[in-house]
Amino acid sequence: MNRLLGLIILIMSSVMSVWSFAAASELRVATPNDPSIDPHFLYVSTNAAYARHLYGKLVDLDGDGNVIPSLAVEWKNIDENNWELKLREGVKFHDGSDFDAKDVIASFERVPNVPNNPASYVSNTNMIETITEKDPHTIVITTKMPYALLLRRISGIGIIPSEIAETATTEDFTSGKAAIGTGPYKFSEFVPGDRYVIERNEDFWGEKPAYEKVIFRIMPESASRMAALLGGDVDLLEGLPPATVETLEEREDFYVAQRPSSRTMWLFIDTHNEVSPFVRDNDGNAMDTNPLLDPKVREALSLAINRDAIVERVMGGLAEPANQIVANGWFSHSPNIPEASYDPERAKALLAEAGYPDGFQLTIHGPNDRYPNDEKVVQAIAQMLTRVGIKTEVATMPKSIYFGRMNEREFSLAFIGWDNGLTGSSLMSLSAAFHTRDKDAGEGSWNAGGYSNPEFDAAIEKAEGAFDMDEQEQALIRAMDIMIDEDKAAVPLYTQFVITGAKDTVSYTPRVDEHFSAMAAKPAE
Amino acid sequence: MTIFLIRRLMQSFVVLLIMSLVVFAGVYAIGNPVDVLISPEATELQREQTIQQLGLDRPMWEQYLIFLKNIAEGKLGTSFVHNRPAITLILERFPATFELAFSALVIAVFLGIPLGLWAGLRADSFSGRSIISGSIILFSMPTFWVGLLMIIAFAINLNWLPTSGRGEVGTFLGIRSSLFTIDGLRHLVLPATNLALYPLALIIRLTASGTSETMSLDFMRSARAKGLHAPRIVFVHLLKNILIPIVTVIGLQFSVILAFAVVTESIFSWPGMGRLIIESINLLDRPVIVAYILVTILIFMLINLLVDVLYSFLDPRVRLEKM
Repeated sequence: MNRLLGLIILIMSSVMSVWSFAAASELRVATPNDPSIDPHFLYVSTNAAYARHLYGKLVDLDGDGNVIPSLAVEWKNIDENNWELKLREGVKFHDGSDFDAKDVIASFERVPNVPNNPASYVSNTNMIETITEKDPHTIVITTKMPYALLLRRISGIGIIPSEIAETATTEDFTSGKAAIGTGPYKFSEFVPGDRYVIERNEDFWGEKPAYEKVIFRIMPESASRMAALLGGDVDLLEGLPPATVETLEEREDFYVAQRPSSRTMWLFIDTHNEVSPFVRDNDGNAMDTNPLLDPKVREALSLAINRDAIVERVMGGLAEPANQIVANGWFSHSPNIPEASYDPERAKALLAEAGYPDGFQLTIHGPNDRYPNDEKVVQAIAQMLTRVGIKTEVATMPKSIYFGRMNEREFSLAFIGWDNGLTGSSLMSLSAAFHTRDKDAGEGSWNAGGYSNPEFDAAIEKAEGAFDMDEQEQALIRAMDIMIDEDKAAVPLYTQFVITGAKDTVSYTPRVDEHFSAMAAKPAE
Repeated sequence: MTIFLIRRLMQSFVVLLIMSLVVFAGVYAIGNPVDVLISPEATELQREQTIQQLGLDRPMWEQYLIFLKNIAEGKLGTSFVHNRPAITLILERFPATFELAFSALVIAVFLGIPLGLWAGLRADSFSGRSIISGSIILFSMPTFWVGLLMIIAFAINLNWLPTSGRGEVGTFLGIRSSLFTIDGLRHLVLPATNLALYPLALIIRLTASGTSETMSLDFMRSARAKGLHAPRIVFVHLLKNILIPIVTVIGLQFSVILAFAVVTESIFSWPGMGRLIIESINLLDRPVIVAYILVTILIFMLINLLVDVLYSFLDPRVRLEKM
């Protein structure tokens, strides 16, 4: 009997250990996200990241967030509203057809016209009045108003052949039929929910990527991704939970590629409601005033938070404390704002000065499935606030419910992270999240705190209208100074790191905008 | 039989209609999909336009009527996230789920019935008792946890099997399934076993209790007194009599693991329907959620119908007209 068992085990193990060795030039990536193959459907950052592999853009952003030439080789301003772009010559699409100005125009025209699209790329094109063809390799983009950030905005638009742009549906892209671009990789196979395979475009005009074939394995469950990496089924892991970083670093043949990202986290404070929905007095009764309207109280909130402790203990060192809502070293980072300090005594004193010597009760809200460690960070903050006398409860919820309620201003203190990568500055976050909400002007669409200060609004509008980049930066710095330093309208927390788990055989450099890019991977020496 | 079938179909239709209303109201209450999907850069105006375009600005009853009208035209709605018909998305993933559930059921039946018989016939022996206590352990361990343990043991430490995903798909008699390739089978072993654990325990217990109950009945005694061989007693007289509850449970379990293999599919990254529904709920992809639940109900009803029909073959005393 024992011998039989032994034999069975022997046979089983020999059958099962027949390894399908991955070819040396194949890269296998575990990713949590299904791609949209249609470059103009569903504008979320993961889709923008996938699109970079297949589709060229007029200009692109490099891994550090700088504008670099792509299908446009050079550009100049004819005047403040007109941009002339020279297109790259001799570029071929994956189907062999030639790239020219008509393809650019047709692609931009398709953007607002993709049906049934809950997240359109149109915010990247709606400042454009017209695009005209001067000759097959020169175009002129005319904007509705002077728009300094045009190049960054159009870096979001993938270019496809005009015939496809005029007729193809999202379904045609998903099936691969219309998935034709000029990018460094070509579409090979897509099985929704399972895998997405791309192959190197040997006719690519630029530097060819290191791997001939990239297989994205779609695995939303982070434990499964981790298992796949440890079990040798994949080489790279996108969306590594910070809690598992240590496990990975302890293993000999793996490492964690990391860098500060362009996403800064902060707390929205309800500076709008006369009576804030989640502020109570010490007996738990509703208050007839909103203490958060007092800048002293808001300053106390900030002073009560020990950012170093959050970074070290909750984020495992994978973050940097922030004193404003754009990271240090970025365009428009204000040098005038002092380091965010931790001073619970001063916080208590400020609360007393504001008339709340015994504090009050508060509920802090946050998502529990959106950012790395989001729930734990919110819990840590609640404890810190409680220590200075603001007895804080925690309520977290799935992002599918959280963000909608947040934007309806239903919370008193709310946790959010904002990616500044697209504009490479504080412009988008300040105008969307802090400018007075104004539907017609398109301002303040995410102003969940209800902050409103005419002086700040004027600074933002000046920055938006500025064509000179220095002038824009000065206006943005002024706006940040008003909002953070003078009004304390939000509590900046930290800038998170983008982390990718990798096998030692692959060398990977993460991008600052958190986009995954197979072009940034190469076999380790 | 025909009357029975017609009545069943009419009942099913009413159930579907009621469920669609319940699901629609539930999904409507969760939240607005646009808040989850729209890009943070979108302005308030774009947000409103999007909501209008997707028809989400209309009152709920109007949305429901539009939904019913579309169904009458044979359309179950288009996914917000994938921009493809919801029913296509579901059917596309059905084969993966079906082969997983089918393999799990095969494992459960072909291990469960013999083990259960053994445990029932030898209820006082060590082996019999071990099987019963083993089934209690199988019952009580969470699938999620066992799945992870299996991955750690067999995929990471022993490196015998792949950690997750569906393997290569082969074609046999026009059917495309990963059951037909070595790579596919290697990928299938762990998730199918994981999914089989619960129905396996259930079948063991049912078979064992049925066996010990039936063995003490008079007709069994006379069969033995008549001098019939043990195999004939067990496999003909015994099995025939205990099979009815087992078939019911197998049928119910099959619909359950077909519709709700969510946990196993998530852990093993199996590209089936269960993962589709979880992802759709996370992203509030309303059309897919509604379509999925309706399809699930349909599957439940079909399998129950099948079980009822099977009954009448297994037990001639059962008349379908009376059910």
